Amino acid sequence: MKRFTADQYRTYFYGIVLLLCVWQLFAGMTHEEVMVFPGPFQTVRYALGLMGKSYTYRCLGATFSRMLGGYLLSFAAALLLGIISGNSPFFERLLSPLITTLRAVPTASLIYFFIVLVGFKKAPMMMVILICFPILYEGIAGGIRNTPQSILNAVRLDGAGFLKENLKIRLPLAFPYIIVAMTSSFSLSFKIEIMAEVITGSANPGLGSVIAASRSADPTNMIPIFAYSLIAVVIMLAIDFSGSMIRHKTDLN
Amino acid sequence: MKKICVILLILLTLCGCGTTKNEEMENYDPNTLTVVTPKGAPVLAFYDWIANENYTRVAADAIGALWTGEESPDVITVDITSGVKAIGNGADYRLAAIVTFGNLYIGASGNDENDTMDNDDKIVLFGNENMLPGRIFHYLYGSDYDEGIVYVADAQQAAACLMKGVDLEGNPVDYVFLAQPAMFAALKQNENASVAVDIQEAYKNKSGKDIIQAAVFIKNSVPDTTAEMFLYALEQSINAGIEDPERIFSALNVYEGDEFTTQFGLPNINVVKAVFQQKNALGINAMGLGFKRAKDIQQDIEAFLQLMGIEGTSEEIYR
Repeated sequence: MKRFTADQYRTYFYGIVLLLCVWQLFAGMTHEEVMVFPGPFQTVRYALGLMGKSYTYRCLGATFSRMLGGYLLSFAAALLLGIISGNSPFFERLLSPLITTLRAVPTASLIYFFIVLVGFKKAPMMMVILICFPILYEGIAGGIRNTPQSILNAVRLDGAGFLKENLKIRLPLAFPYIIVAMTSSFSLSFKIEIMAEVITGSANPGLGSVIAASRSADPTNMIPIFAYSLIAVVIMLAIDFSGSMIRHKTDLN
Repeated sequence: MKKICVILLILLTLCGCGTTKNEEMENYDPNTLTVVTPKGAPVLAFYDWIANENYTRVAADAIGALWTGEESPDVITVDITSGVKAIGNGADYRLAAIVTFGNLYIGASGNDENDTMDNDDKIVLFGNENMLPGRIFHYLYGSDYDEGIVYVADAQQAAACLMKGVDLEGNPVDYVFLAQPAMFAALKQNENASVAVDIQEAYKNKSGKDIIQAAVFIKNSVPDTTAEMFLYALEQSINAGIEDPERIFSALNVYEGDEFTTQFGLPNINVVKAVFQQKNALGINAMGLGFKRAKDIQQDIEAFLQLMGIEGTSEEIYR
């Protein structure tokens, strides 16, 4: 077990090294490491400088809290509707066109709609809800639906009601599905939040706002944009890594 | 005698209770109205509002989504063309004043050997031929230089072209259409670059009128007295800022670094100071900051709107 985990860490580390090599290769190929494609060394140096500034943490905190708010609301809605759909094929079919539409709708165009509907501050959060909901919903509904029939028959013989069956049997068994949906939608929600902040260009602190501002301040210098993006990527890598650890542990159990 | 004294006393009391219109306006609290402006030069007009919770700055592109809905602000400052189009589409606002009168320039990259714009030169405009740079350029120069015109997506890309003297594909460019303060920042980075044309002057020479950029639109539901007080406060504030620019600089100087740029969409306070203290060929600050009631310059506005492809605006767009 320990050896397996150590191997996983090593592989993850090699993956990061490979990523840095590919990044440096591309940067070298553009011959414009400031204006077009900054290399990893310049970017990391700049990002370290940013990490020494309190404003960076305010931006991170603001982006993260808005994203988390949207994500939790999305999760709550997906949990409720996912449980119902997982139990009722009729309800699942009823929601199917809505879920397909939500998956297909161009995200960038929706931001303007949400600015009108809920205002600047809440529009990025609404985007997160809208984008994450179908992924979480399908993960939860799929997990609930795929509970082995033999277990369900046994539980029903014991006289378990709808609530007990779902909360004590179906949901725990759907956990691996839910974790997969959560980890993939969580990274996506972070990206969507940042993109929505870039489009709204709000003066509120946020990673997206500061990326948009960096571009307008000096359009020939891509290093700040890459550096802020790197900070977001590192956070997402950490979350993704934690997610894979949780997935690994659930698989073992 | 006693009666006269009482009457005099009553009259004096009544005079003391009443306030003149000017006093009322000077005591007006600008916090009462919600105001939205795009980031960039128009922020300078609202320097006195910066600490105000009701004042929001957003990306210019996003303002289009604010004209309707429950959260639509009382006052929107935006380029005049977008605002008038929004009114045409049913936005419940009226044009009240102009606060930016043009900060547009054509920069020479230093690549042109004869230093004269002609049809051999590569000229970078941003947007497309129906947007402000394309319209004004064609109004001033006709289609003589069309073969050499290259459009880039936005002002940031145009600034990058002047900074580097090359377009996005690496080909040399000769002239670039830009607004301040992006022009100043580009000239700082490219020592061969210079200002070739002051668009304000060229437009004035040809049309006899001023360029109109950022305009103030007030929601119809705002009572006339409040709107009047707001405009009075704004006019006083802008005039005071032009007379003593330190007032503007100190109001902006509450933020620094990336936070400054995120808040105002301007590079930094030093660039703002440097640009603001320059004068264009018409003797106005290079940011084009000023204040005029829309109704007072109706002819200039209509000529400009016509240039931008909006014909026959009705009297009803004015407040």
